[in-house]
Amino acid sequence: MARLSVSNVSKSFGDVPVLIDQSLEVADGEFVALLGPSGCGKSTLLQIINGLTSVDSGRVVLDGQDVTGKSGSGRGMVFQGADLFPWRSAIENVAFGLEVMGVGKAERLSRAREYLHLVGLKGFEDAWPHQLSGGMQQRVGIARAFCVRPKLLLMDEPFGALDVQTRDILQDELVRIWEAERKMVLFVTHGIEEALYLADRILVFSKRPARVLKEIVVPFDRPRRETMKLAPEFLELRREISELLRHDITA
Amino acid sequence: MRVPRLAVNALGVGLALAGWQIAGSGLGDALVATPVQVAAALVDTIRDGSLWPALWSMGWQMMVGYLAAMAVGVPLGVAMGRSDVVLSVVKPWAQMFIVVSAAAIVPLFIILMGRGVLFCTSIVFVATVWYVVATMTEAARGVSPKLLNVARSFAASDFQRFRYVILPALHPFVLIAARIGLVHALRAMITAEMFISAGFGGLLNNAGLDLSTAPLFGLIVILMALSVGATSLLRWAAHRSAPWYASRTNA
Repeated sequence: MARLSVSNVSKSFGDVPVLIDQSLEVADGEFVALLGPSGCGKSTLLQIINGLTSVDSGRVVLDGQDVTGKSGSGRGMVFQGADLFPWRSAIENVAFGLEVMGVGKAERLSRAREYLHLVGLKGFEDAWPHQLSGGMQQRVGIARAFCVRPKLLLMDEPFGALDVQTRDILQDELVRIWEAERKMVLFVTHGIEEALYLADRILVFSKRPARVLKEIVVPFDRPRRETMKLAPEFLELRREISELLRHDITA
Repeated sequence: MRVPRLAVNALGVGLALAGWQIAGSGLGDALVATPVQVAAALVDTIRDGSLWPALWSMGWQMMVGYLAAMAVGVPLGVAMGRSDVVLSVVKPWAQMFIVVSAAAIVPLFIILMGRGVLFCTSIVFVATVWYVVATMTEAARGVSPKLLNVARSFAASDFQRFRYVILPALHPFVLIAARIGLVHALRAMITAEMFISAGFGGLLNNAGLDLSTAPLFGLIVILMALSVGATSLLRWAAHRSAPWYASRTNA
């Protein structure tokens, strides 16, 4: 059983403490949203879990293996602005992780093609990133992270730069893809509705230095449908979280 | 109504030529030869046996200095852009040399090296290399840290980040540096040859002593055609080899 365990992580940038003694656990196949105001430190936590940022203290353990400060191995990251390599075609972008791992060309391209199709970009294999719309670029970004078959998918406000319609579509797509290949997901967002719609569990973070204000187990069944965003229970939870965050920011 | 761009270009050239013809008719060919006279002189120069050997000797000596400048300038510029140590060691020299015109160092180089191949190629090298270095330094400093981070999140090693991110990101700038360098190489070569009255620069020098300015203008037209031809060729090569960059900048 795959599982992520983050224990007692602290991080400061210079004199500014960003995270103080934070811990979290993610169970196999669980979709967890990290929700909080912009700049609170939740992205830093994600980067620490990804191994891109070092910790001052604490440990990140994935499947019993200490991966603190080490990137790669079992984790795939989707970045906010997609951040595709402009000199690589869509399929070559998706195959990037496999190329780094030393997988042969024929195999990595065939696997990349499979994931490009999964995200609905059949026929765009040879397109350059600048020829794709923002939403399509992020589909490639998602395929790139899935293509290394990570146990843990890390998503840093992946839909933050997209317009509302595209975001709604991609949220549904993400759920569809994730249900096809169930893995642990940590999804950083400042969108309350997004977190409620996508996640099994939400960790609501305070303003900086980030700490968990509240843990919410989302009570809605899967598969989730667009219409649930208007259900009274959904709206009530949304209002509750919104108040929690507002109270913290003005406190 | 949209006027075709080529027609506008042709109209501009036509007007300039007409103005030149009128001015030349008024001032006489000792001061300003008319386009008609220049065209006639151009034909004479091309028929005369001395042009082709002059162009050849200029061409190959310039290419030696130019290619050496590229071979040294590109790696040095990249090293300066990626390493603060190299930058602080080399930058003062680069700044000093880049403001000194080729003509100013020619006398010193004649004293040091005489008037042979070594002299010409050295002048070209010194006059070109710092422009290549400056272009590549800026390019290397501009490599996206986000994309380097993406590579890092896929556990790419230092070498892999260089190979898969820095090198492809720099590729279009190598071709830009090649273009800028070529223009400076050609200028330096002409300057050097004018000092030692050899090759194409020598022809220019002699033509300057003529009673008519027509042959001089003819040589200048050849020089311009060469320079424009060579830089266009390099631009075409850049578009062919990095279509992602070309189409992005044209958009």
